[in-house]
Order: sequence, then structure tokens, then C-alpha cells
Amino acid sequence: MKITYLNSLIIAITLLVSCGKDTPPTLAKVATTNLSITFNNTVNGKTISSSDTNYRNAAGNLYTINLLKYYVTNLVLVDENKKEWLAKNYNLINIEEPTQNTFLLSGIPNAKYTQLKFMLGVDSLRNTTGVQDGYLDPSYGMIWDWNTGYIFFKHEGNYKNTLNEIKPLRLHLGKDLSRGNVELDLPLININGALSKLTIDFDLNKAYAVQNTIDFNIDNDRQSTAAVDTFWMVNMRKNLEKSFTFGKAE
Amino acid sequence: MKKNIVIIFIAFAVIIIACQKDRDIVAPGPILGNDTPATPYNLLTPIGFPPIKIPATNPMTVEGIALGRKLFYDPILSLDNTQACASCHKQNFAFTDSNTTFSKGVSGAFGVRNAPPVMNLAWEKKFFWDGGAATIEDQVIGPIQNPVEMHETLTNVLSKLRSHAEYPKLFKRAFGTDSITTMLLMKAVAQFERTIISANSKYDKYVRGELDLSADELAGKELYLDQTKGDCIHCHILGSTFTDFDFKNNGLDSVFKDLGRYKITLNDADKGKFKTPTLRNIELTAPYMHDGRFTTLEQVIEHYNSDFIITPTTDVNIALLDKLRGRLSPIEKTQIIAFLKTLTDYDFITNPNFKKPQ
Repeated sequence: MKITYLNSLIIAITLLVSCGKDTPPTLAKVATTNLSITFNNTVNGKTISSSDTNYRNAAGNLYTINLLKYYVTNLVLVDENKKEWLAKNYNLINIEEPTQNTFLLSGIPNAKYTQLKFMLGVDSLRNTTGVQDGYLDPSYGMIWDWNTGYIFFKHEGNYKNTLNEIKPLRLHLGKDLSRGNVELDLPLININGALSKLTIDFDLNKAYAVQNTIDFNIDNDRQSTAAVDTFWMVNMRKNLEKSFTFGKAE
Repeated sequence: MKKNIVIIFIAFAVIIIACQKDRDIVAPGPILGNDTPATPYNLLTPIGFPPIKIPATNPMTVEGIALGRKLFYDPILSLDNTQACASCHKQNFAFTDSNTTFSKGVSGAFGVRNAPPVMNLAWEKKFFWDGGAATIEDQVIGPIQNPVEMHETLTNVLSKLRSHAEYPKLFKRAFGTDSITTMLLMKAVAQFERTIISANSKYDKYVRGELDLSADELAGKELYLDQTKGDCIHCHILGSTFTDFDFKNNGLDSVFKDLGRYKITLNDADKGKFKTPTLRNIELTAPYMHDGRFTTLEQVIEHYNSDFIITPTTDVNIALLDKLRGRLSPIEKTQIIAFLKTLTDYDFITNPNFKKPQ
């Protein structure tokens, strides 16, 4: 009799305790920092202005910038122990919308970081559908609506051709072939709460020269959608991967 | 013993009550408020068709379909608010654009391809004549922004919808949020378009044993299957979808004015290839081919009977018929057409669920 009574009590207590399984176990808290990252868009080190009409690339073409947008996604911070911290971010950098060019990454574990990596473009999984929100919303004008896929990098403006005529410049880079992987070495940055702001510099002229010189007399209207675009696409990807530099940490 | 049973009972009752407290208690309420979750909709697969796959990211709901239907018929999606999706995809023409070769956009310009039917899209794998759009959802935004179609920007569409008297409420009911995004617009229209299914033609009734086909129609069916006669069967698979969902060069041209599938894949082998259209309701979807070059089914049959052109990308099943040009007699041609006309679905073109909502 007594055993039965005791057994039922034990069962009841066991079950009662199991009801509490939703309560998360207490974890040792790792101190984190919310880091703001700014992309500073320049030509030859000078911040871009759409009213400036005197930009000149390595090929000697004079050009303007009416529109400049590109995707910075899947940013990774690598710490001194090679441990990677991935931000699943999808940011659209746009010279016309400076507020978009600074974004916050929250909850970065405090550590000394040696490298920053990001994707220039949209990863293959998300590049296959436009049914997405945030900066991947097709209303941002960075998707080909007749050929599902994102435009990773878009520069529109004018250029002067060899006959000194002003002609439209329309460069839309995309497709898997063009997706760039940028890797920047950092001068051992100690992210610890006090430090909370990183600046990355982008130089548009490097995108047209650093590995392969792009001449607007040849490459002035590229949509990444014709076989003749592929050479330009690969050159642009290689250039863009080397067009970013670490600016400063504050 | 009795005492123990009582104790055990009480102990378990305590446990059950304690365990229940975390459950969501949904009070049943008859009033359909803005916060009521949307009603799940089960899209049934018609008899004999492959199962319909609904993407997990866009489950069908009664409210989502209703919203998509309203949007499909609403000219608010176009630049000057004069054209809706339904302007070029009309129900009585199996959701194609009447007998127009190329449709006229809001800005007066004409397109370069014949408006394809918005029909049985639930089974399609790629969208547009060249398969440029990856999903039903993705194809929604193409015609809205195309300068020769609705010529509107998504930014303007969103701002018109957001300031509309009804849409924020309807999006809230369908998706639980009144913050209207392109994604939700795509999802709603896609939900409605998935429901546009034709599966009740004379042929379907024949397959289900509900009626008999005429002697000519049956003869046409045999010619359709015969690889030395109609040979329609390779691409327009008989039975349910009447397409292989592939892209084929059906021998229309030696020089391609429109490169078709190649524009998407940049693969030389895809030059001059276009999506195999379904033959359902083919009687209603004239003119034919991606560029609407044929106005009658007789012309289409004659193309496959004699006139096809063989180039390196022409489909092999067509090229194999090179030595059998002119193989169909006049009576055989009329029999094939008689069979094709059994694919007309009058219930489909009059289905009240697909009409412009009140």
C-alpha cells in the first residue's frame, strides 16, 4: 500500500517537473556589442556627389554618377582565433540614401577581430526569387523583373565618348558569375563596447581599373543578360572585390 | 486503496491543469475582425492531374485568394490606372488577350510576344514564353513594370495601395499585416492565379466516362498520338497538363527575330526556343505561337504537317518528320482539330470564382 502511494507521488512530481521544460537553461552571458558599419562611397578618395560631372576613370573616360547602388550581404567578422561571426544581413548601399549606408549589427561577441568579409551581391538561394522583404523588396529597383534575379551593382549616369559626345552609361551587374566576395584585413580591432563604429571605403574608380581596365567606349550599356556581357561581368567582379578598403574604427 | 486512487487522480488532475496553462486559448468568435487569422484554403488537385505543390512560404487562404483576385482585376496596378492584369488575360479567351497578336500597353506601345494564358499555372515550372520568371509569385511584377505593358513602378503601386480605402484592410486580413510590400502583392496575385484551373473539358468528361467522343474526335485523338501522323504527343503530353513544361524550337524560323529561352540562359542551344504551351482551351487562345503568327488552328497544323524549318536547335521530334512532310490528309487535319476542340472547357470560362469580383 505504502509503495503504491509513494510511487504515484513520485510519478506526479516527475511529471510536474517535466512541465517546466520550456524554461531555458541559464547560460553564461557573453558580453556583446552593437556595431555600426558605414560604407563611404568615393571616387579616388573623394566622397561621391551626383552633381559632380568631372569624374574620370583609368581608361580616361569622363563620367557622371546619377545612380549608384550595390548589395552588401552576409557580412562576416573573423576574430583572432579564426572564429567567424555571421550577420545575416541584406543591405543596399545607395549614394542617394545616406541613411542606408550605415547599418547596425547587433550582438557581436566582444573579441579582437582581424578580418571582415562580405558578399557583393545576393547569395544564390535568395537570388532565385524576388518574393522577399527588406532591401530585397523588388521595389528597390534591383531586380530584373523579366528574368528573376537581383542586380548586385548598378551605376547609371553619362560618359563622354571618343567623339566628345555625351552618351548614357548604364551598368547593371548580376548573375551568379558576378557575385563578389570581399575580404578585408583589419588592424586587430578590439570590439568591446567602447568601440562601436567601423567605416569601409569604396572607390568606384577601382571598380573600373584595379584588376582589369573598363573602358566606357566599350562597356557602357551592360545588363549581364547577353553572352557578350560575360567578359565584362567577370572583370567587374574581380575589380569590385578589390575596390573596398578598411577606413577607420571608432 | 480507494484513498490512493483518489490521490493519484488528484495528482494527475493537477498535472493536466498545470500543463495546460501554456496553451493558446482561442476564443471562438463569429465576427470576422481585422485580426482574425486568414482561413486556410485547400486547393484540390483535379482527378488525373499531378499533385499541386503550394510553396510553404505562400500558403493559400480564402482571404489571400480574394485579395489576389481583386488585384488581378484592378487597373490600379498600371501607370494611368487604365489596365489590369485582366485587360490582356480575359476569362472568355481562357485568360489570353482576345484575338490580338500583340497587346497594347498603357503607353500605346505594343508587346513583342502573344499574351500567354493565365491557366493551370499551378503545374508550370517556369513563367513567360522564355521561362524568365522562376515562380508564379515572381512573374507578377514583370507585366506591371514592363514599359510596353502596365508601365508602372512598384514604388508607385505600393503607394497607391497603401493610401487606398480598402487595400490595407484586405492585406491585413490576408496576411495579418497592413504594411503592404511587393512581396505580399506578389503572394496575393499568385494565390489567385493558382486557383485558375481548367480541368472540366469535354475530353476530361470523356476520360471520366461521363460521355463519348464523336468518331472524328476519336480519330483525331489517334492521330494526335501517332508518331508518323500528328505526333503532338511528344511535347503536348496527353492526359492532364498537355505540355512537357520544356522549351522547344518548333521550327518556325531559320533566323530568330526573338531568341527566346536563350535570352535567359545565354546557352546557344536555347536559341529560338519557347515554352511548350498547354493545349487546353486551344480553340479560345488564338492567335498561336509566341508571336501570334498563326490565326487559325488549320495554319498551326499545316506548320507541323509541312512548313517546319530545320535548324540546329529545332526539336529532334520535329526534325525526324522531315521525310514525312505533307503526311496529313485534309480529313486527318480536321480530325485533329476536332479532337483539340474537345479540350475547350466551358465551365472554366464561365466559372464565377474567376470573374471580376463585385
